[in-house]
Amino acid sequence: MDLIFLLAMNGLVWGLIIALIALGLSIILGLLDVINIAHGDFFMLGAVGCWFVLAAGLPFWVALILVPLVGLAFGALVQQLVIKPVQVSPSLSIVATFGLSLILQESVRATFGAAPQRISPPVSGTVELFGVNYDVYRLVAAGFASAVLAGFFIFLNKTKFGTRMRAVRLDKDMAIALGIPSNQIFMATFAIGASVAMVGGIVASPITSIEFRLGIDILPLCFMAVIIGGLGNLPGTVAAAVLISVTEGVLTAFVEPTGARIATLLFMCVVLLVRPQGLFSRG
Amino acid sequence: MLSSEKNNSLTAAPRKLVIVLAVVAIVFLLTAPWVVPALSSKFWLNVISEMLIWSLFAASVNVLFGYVGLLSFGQALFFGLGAYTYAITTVHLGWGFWPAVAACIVVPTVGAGLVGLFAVRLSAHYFNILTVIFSLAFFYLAVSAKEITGGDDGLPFAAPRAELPFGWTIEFRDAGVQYFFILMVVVLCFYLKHRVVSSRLGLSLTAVRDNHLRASLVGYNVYLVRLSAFIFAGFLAGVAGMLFAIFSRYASTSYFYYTTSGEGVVYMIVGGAGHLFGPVIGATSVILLREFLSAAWENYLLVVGVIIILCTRYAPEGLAGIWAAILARLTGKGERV
Amino acid sequence: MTASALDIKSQSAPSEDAFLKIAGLSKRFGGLQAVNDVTIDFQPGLLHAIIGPNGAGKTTFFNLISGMIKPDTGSASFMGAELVGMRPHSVSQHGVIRTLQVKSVFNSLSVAQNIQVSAQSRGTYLNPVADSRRDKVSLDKTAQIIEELGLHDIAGQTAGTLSYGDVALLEIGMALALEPRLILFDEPICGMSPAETARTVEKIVELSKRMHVILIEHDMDVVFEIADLVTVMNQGAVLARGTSKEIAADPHVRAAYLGEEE
Repeated sequence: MDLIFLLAMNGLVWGLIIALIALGLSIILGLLDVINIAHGDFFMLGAVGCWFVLAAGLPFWVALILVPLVGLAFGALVQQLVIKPVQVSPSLSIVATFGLSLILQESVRATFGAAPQRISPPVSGTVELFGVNYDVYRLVAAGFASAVLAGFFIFLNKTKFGTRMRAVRLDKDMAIALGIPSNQIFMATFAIGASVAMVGGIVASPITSIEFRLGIDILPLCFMAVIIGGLGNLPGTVAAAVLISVTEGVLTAFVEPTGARIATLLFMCVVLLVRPQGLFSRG
Repeated sequence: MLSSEKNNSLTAAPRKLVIVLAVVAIVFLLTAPWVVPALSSKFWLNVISEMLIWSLFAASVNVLFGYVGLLSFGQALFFGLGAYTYAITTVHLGWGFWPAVAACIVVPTVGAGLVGLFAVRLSAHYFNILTVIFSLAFFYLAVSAKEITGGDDGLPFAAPRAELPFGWTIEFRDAGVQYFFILMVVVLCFYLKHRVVSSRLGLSLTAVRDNHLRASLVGYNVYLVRLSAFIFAGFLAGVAGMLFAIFSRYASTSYFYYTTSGEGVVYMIVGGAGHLFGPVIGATSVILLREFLSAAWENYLLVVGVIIILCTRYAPEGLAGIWAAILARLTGKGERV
Repeated sequence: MTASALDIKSQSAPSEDAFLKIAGLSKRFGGLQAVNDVTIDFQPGLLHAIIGPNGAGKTTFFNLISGMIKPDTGSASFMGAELVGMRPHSVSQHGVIRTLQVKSVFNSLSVAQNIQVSAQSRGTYLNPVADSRRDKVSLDKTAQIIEELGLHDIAGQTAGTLSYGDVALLEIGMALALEPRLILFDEPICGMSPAETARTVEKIVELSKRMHVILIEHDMDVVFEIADLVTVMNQGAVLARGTSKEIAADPHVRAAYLGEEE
């Protein structure tokens, strides 16, 4: 029982981190009509960026502020240079993001190296939780990820900019006709999506081994969250990310991790075919 | 998006140029086992074999994207099925070469039929994602079924040997013999692809790619047209996977991963989607680039990434598109009304 | 050939010789009743036109018949075959061909190939080995249509580079290649120059003598000039039906429609 609780908690922490990545993936798909294959690599860049900041002798919280800011600028630049010229064709834009993914991975391999690295968490120790000793940092990570998710939804629903983003997502042509500066919205959406994924990378960096291929393995999970949650249904995406991750975590108590993954993939196929609008969307 | 010059007939001067180039290519490919080792080393003969195999794999992606407008990041599934069908039937079941080859044609083709039943129903984004998901499911399945697939280590086997009538055999240990076998199969598959894209089905594919709503109003069952293309593409990818397994004496679970699919997409885009020989041009150029750059700089993929992005932006029809545009310019067909 | 005065009520009653019988056809989009319980017959030998203000449900009516949208209730029987429930390609294979309001063809193919690809849809279009460039049946059909519509000059041109008027003409050529028994024209002359309009209108009148034609059109002058029987739709329902003269004089129609226009 303790083991299952532990696995479920670990699943929850990872689910919240995956939700951070999947949200960006979902808004980029919803607004720009782009399946961003490089999105997992933004997550990887966040973790690698954190490692570089720590290696420079700076504290963890500096990475937490600096890396997402750099990520915003970087995301905006990428959107202008790579995505915007091919945005008319969803297929070409997917291919372009695949090229971007190669560039990001190889740049990191060239500078950071191919060997996996680990960093120690900014807070260490354990607390007793329902009779189980649990890693403090993971609790902090879960809390922080939840806070960022909450902040993201507040931004989307309460600010003028967020309202404009939602308007573009609902009806692109109408929004443009109403004079909403769609190009700025597209740029900002991509930048925010990239930045939030990097936050996920920073949060995850002390609990994973950091390497240039980190994004390749996490990306499929994020797509699963987007599909199971329902395209365009952002709260559904978060719920799906947590659900997938916790379920897979708990399943690993009984089967091998790959078996758990196959189970979720099959589940997703069923969702895609029976409820293509997602598990948590109406109609 | 994909304007098409490929149906235009060529006038005299460029036609000669094309014929000369074709003859040079054919002579080179037929004499490569003697010429290439004489010039450099046996190593390059294997590189050419590899180019041929990846050309075939990219052709599979091209049938879907270039001709019927479906971008699949899941063709690795059929590549992996082809590779593992060969390895499993020969290693575990003890089948001979030819029965194994027959299985390698049947399994991926039937697999494509089954996956296609579900996948081609879906709209573009869901199609993209579902094809990836199916290939991932098989990746994890292959990784977990260690006794059968060898898991992360893959499934190695000895160099195959094929019996022919009159007591002849094909010895794959001989790099030259192996090369000719691969060349023959790839040429045959490209001939098939040529027949298919210039057939009535081929014209139907273009109609569905250009405007699927209009195609359905014209009376085309868009679902069946797409399914046909998906099955044919699965067949091509399966044969490519089989050849790659025979060539490398090994089937690996990584063949199922979506990054393998990505390679096919890259070769197709760089070479030219919707052009018959686009995949050959793409696979040849990118692999040549790899061979020359990777010796000097291990991060050569960075350059490949930049090339992909430049292609999507400036040459969406790839090198074959540039070539067709130059030919059109030469024949004065460049200025269209 | 001009129809004698026809009463709406007698038209609504089922009759034996109608080629298209619509009964109780309805479609609701959210809060909007786009097509509201339409029951109407179309008799052979007449050029039918459907008019009505924007949002009257004309295009939705065509979409329901051609299988692009499933109706909530009702039926559409074309020469004994029930069209409701069929997918668009099956409707097309039954000889009911529709054109779209926004003209569109196969842009990467030449004009001739556009017609050929239409013609071959009546045969084994999934055949993966029969060379399309040697497909005698569809090539002959193509040559015949190019001849009929006078498309020689542009036959080799890529369709994506055509003028709007030529695209509209090509659409008619493609429809003819489909062995149509009924053509549903959705604003065929929208966006055309006066010369192109005259040419197209003439063609439609000629076609109406060889096959069934139903036309949605906004241009009143054209409708009143060529249509034998005009059906007026408003708010998803049939408001009136009659000859051009009757419709032009009908006070309800004037109130609902013509009043807004003039």
